[in-house]
Amino acid sequence: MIPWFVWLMPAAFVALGGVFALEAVGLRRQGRAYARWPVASGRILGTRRDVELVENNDDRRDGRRHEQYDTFFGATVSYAYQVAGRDYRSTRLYAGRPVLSGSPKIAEATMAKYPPGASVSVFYNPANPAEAMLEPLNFASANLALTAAIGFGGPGLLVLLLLSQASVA
Amino acid sequence: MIAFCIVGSVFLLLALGCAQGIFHWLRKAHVTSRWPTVPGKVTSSWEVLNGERVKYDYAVNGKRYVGHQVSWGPRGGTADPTCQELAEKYPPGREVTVYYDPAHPATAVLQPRNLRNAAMSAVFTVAFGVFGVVFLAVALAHAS
Repeated sequence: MIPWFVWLMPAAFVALGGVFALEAVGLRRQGRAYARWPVASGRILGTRRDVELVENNDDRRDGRRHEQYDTFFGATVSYAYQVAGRDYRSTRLYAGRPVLSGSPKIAEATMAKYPPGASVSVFYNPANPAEAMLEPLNFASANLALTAAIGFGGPGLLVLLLLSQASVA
Repeated sequence: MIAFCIVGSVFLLLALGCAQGIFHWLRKAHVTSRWPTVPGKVTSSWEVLNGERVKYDYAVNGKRYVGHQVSWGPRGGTADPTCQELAEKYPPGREVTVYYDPAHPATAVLQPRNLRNAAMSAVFTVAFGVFGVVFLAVALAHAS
């Protein structure tokens, strides 16, 4: 007989995976809806490479603290556009929060795609023109949520399956 | 097993502290959402996209004030709105409704009902509570 509390941890992982799966589905739906927003012509104001350091682990082999970091790269693209004679600015590329990558290649490709001064099509929310984006069908954020859903939900389901088999046996 | 009991009790105490946080933020939202309101205007520039704080003008009894508070609670958490999200909601020139403290009109807020902090406290209450219950259950299972 497996105690009830042993089921809690894998169940929590499955629940977390479910939350991320719902987020992934929601972001994909939003992206498709945003692609139907009206389009204004805009201009790239500038681009910036973002670097984020995330502490990885401490190496204490020689008894001293050596902090190690993972480096993540992203690109911020600033653009301006006009709706009904009013000026707006934004840095949003797609639905969801910007996704950082362990490789600088994606950030560099984004910066190369949007050189300062270039003309772009801006998809804006007719109900709130301050809300806009350049790539509504870019599902980078949704794909990250899907990865997290698989990462949490998969092992959780596997452990639940093993536990249920063990409890039957 | 005493160690499990102690760890479980500590987790339950932490859950209790977080539960107190839920009531603190709910009470704050309840009280401030009943503050009087005046129309205001966002005066910050598009530099909000680069991290500048949202700024808004409002007037109470003929005296002008500049507010910075969008919602209650500490800034900088992962659940907080990004600069982009703030600029989308409060672009320069947008007309806003400002909730001000009648006893101290310089204290004002735009989103008094934002329950983000209460929700975060609830998440930690559940997490610590679950860990506390599991540790105590393990201790009791071994004791019996």
